[in-house]
Formats: sequence, C-alpha cells, structure tokens
Amino acid sequence: MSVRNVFKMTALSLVLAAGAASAQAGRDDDEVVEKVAVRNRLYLVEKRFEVGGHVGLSLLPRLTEHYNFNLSVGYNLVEWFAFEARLGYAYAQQTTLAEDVQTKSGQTLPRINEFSNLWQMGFNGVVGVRFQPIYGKINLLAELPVHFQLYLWAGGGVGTFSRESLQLCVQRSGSTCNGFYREGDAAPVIKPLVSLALGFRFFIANRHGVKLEARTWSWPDSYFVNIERAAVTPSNPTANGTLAPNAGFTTLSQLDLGYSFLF
Amino acid sequence: MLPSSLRSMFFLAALLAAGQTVAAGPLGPGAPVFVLGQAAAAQADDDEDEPARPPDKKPDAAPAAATPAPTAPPAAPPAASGSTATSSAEQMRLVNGAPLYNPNVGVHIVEQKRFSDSGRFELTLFPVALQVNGKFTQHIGTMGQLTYHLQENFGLMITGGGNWLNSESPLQGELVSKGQLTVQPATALLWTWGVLAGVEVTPFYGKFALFEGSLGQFSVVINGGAGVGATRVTLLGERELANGNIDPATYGDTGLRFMASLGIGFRFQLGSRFTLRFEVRDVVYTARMETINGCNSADLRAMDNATRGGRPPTSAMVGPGCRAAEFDGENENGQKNSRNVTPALNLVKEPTSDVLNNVGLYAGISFLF
Repeated sequence: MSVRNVFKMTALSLVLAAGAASAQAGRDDDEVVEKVAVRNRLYLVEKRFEVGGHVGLSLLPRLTEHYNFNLSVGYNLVEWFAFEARLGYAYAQQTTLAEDVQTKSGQTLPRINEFSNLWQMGFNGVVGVRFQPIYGKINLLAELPVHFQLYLWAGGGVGTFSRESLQLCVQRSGSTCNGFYREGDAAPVIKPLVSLALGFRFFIANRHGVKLEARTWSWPDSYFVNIERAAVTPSNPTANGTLAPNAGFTTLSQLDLGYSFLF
Repeated sequence: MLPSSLRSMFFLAALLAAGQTVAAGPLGPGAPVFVLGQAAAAQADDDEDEPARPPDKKPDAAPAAATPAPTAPPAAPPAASGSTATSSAEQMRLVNGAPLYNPNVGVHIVEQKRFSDSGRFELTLFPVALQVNGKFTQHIGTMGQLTYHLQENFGLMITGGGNWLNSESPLQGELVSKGQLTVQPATALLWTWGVLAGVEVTPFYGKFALFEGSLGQFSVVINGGAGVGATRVTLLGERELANGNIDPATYGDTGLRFMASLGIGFRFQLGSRFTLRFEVRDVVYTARMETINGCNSADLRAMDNATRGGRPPTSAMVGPGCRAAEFDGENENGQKNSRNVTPALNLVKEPTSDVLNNVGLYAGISFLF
C-alpha cells in the first residue's frame, strides 16, 4: 500500500468516524433539544399580577338561567399556583319551563310543596386559588403552536339572591295570576357561595390569555313546603308553610369565557 | 487534475454526504433537521419554534423582538465540515426563531411522537359515562371501546355498554309530584344500552409538562359513529307505600333505536401501552313511542279493558309481538304489574316523538396492543 493510499484510507476512516460521531451527537442533541423543548415554558407567570374579564353562560338551564359577568384580579405566586378574586353580577331570569309551570301547574292540590332550585344569583364575589400544574402546547395547525395552562380553581364567597315562586300566587284575578310570591327584592338575601372550575388558559401573547372554563356555583337552597293553598294571601304568602328541612344546594353549571392580562 | 484524483475526490464527497446522512438519521424522515450551534442551544430556553431568550431576561420581553423577521427563505444550511465553518455571528443568526446556521445542534421543527399508534389495537374502559345535559332524565353508565388505528391519525372503533342508572331526573319528579305536570313521553325516553361503530381521528397532537418534572403527550380525539340502542320509559314513578316501604318506579320497554354519536376529547399517553381518555360525547337518537313491551295501543286497550273487567291482562287478545305477560303477576312489594297497563296506554294512544341528545362525560383508561 502506497503512502498516498494510506493517507486516503486514514482520511476516509476519520470521515466515517466523524459521521458516526455526528450521528451520536445528533442523538444526544435530539434528547437535549427534546427535553428543553418540552419542559421550558415560553410564557412564565410566576410573581405576576393579572386582571381579567369573564362571561359565564348556563350550560343547562332548568328553571332559571344565568348570565354571569365577572371581573377578576389574580396573583401568580409560583408557576403552578395563584390566588384570584372575582367580582361580578349575574343577570338571571326564569326559563320558559318555569313560566309554563306557573301557568299550568296543578291548581287542585290542597297543599303545596314549592319547587326547589329557584334562587337567582345577582351580585357575587368569590376568592379562590388556582392550581395550574400543567403547562402544555398543541399545534393547531402546522405553523401555529398554542401554549396553554390547565388548571383547577376552587374558592368561596357570598352573593345576593332573589326568588320567585312558581306556585304561590299573591295577586290573582279570576283564574289568572298577576303576581307570584317573591323573596329578596326589598332586602337582598345574602347566601354563601362555593365555586369550582376546570379550565384552560390559552396564551395568545406574553401578556394576553384567553380562558375557557367549566365552572360551577353552588349555594344553599331554601323553599317552603306544606303550604295551604287556600290560605295564601298577600299578607300571608307562605300560608303557614314551613321551610323544607333538607333543601340541599343549588348548583349552577356554566361555560365561562374569559380574557386575562398579565402584568 | 488527473482522472484518478477526480475519482478520489468524488469518493470522498460521497463519503462526506454519507456521514451527514448518518448524522441526520435518528431524527427521522418526518423531522426536518437543522444543524446548529451549541451556544445557541444553551440559550434556546424554550420550544423549538420559539425564539431564544437570555436566561435572566424578564418574561415580558416581547419574544418576537428577539427574532429577526426572515428576510428571505433560508438557504440550505452549510455542511458541518470544518472547512465550511461559518462565522460565530452567522451561527447565532435565528431564522423564524431557529438558529438554522449553527452546525452543532439538531432542532426538531416538528417533534416526533414518542409512541406510534399505527397498526395497534386500543382497548378502552370508560368506568363512568355521566350524562351532563339531563334536564328530564339522568344517565350514568359504563362503556367499552375497541379501536384499531389504521394509521397514526385515523382509526376504526366500536363502542358498547350500558347505563346502569337511567331514570327520570329530580326535576321531572318535581314536575309530576309538585306541579301535576309531565313532559311528553318521548322527551323522557331512557337509554339503557347501545352499540355503535365508527371512526376516530386525532388531528391535533400536543405535549405538556406537569410541574417541572414530568413530561406528557396528548392528542385531541374526534370520533363519530352510528349504531343501535335499547330504550325504555317510566310508567309509574317511585312512591312510598302505606307500610312505609318504597315501591320502585316501573318501566316499559320501548325497543331499539337508531343512534349516532359525535365526540371530542383528550387522550393522554402513559408510556407505550396505556392512555387516559377524557371525552365529551353526544349520542343522538330518535324517540317515537308507539309500542311498550311490544304492545301497541290496540293491544294495550284490550288489556286495559280486561283488567277493568277483573281479568288478567294475559286474557286479552293481543298481537303476536305484544309481551302481555310482563303486565301480569306482582312485584316484590306485592304490587300488581297490571297497574302499568293504563299508564302505558296513556303514553302510546297519542304517539309522541322527539330527537334526544344525551351528552355525556366519558372518563376512561386504554390499553394498547
């Protein structure tokens, strides 16, 4: 073997070895890059305040329906945990099903047990914590990665409530009822609130996020039972009825759409 | 240049190209590879499609500001040989957030999936399928599903199971007991079991970090199917007897219905063999009530006349499909089943129809094989 051929073989061996080493380096870089790519976060929220606005829509209105408008202030203590306060007003009304019940419910029963879950929320305020350990990314389109947080929210507070009975008629003209017994109009009834949510925050820029939540609002229910229909008058609307002993809780389920601004 | 020298040069060039091909191999054919610098890799503190950011920089620094807008389509990256090394500044240059000119780092523009589904079966158990839109009905069931992933993002599936709780909702109970009202029978039809076959696609694929320690991958699943399901209707609601016992509600079989479903959800990968699924599915079915326990209005009227005359329902002349025996005998509380004849007749003498949507939350675990 000539000196030139030895030189060529050595060069070729080096090239091949370099290729193999480059392949190994590729694997190492692959792992490194993959870990970096997955673990690190583009949008960091730790030690940042945020404000937001939210609109909640009833997912399944039964006898009442609510549209809840909230403003929120939050502070992200760490990446995975935050405090948040929400204050708002819910526009609430009875559903057409409830109105049907008012006009069609049986008038022959001598004693009445009122329907449950008729309280309508008004002003509301809650303070809660947001547990947001999951940070993810999804490619909606090939060139459109979307970063998000998945979180659980839990908190409590108070709200004002009012209620209109479906059966206790206090203003009747003939067979038509012109007014049903109402509570919470003159003096607002204040009840405790518990709110739970599971939601996403989709980051659309470093300071801006869109929130999508399934949120529940729960409050203690109350209604009258054992009411003498014939004794119902405007001055004695509940006609010796008593409050239901185990009225339970009303839970309002809402789809909540929101926006958050991070400082 | 001599011909032998030319041959040697071509040979060396081919070997160099082969070396580069070997280097690119592990990233797979579907993942474009750009050869980049190690320094940039250290700064690339975020995703592969995000701009590099100094480690101590405040997060409110606009990411886009760090990324020069591409002025021209990126040229082919230079080869990683030392003879063609680019300048340090050139290596640091970012193109669409990626240091494409850095020779020492492979960057995934589209990250590979760690586990492939193509050609595998997936057996899923949904221990809980909970109806979430139950205004007049409530359903809780257990479902199973077998999926064959024909391709990475497309599979065939068959789903089946039963609703072990299917009854009127508390609101429906209040309407009956407090308001002497009821919804039209078809609206309160109950779904007992069903089998549906269809397809499933996973068009979106993502990844997530749990705290800072665990990595996960997920996909968005969209599925649709069609099949059949069994239904029933409440004849008499639950009531308290004079002796204090609870007489359970009674039901009548209203037959099989065509059903269709549409669902969307998340599928979280747990290693190569298991996944967790959380889906929302809408099962749609038509509800036209013409028979109960196979008996039409004429059959039920004949049985009603028989019971009013003090004779058992089985003594009535009914059609061949009518299961009159189900209206005979007594239940465990000693209540006669013939009391169901009149409510059944009331339900079918004026047939009602509706299209029902049973929207449910399905939570399950899958095994891939």
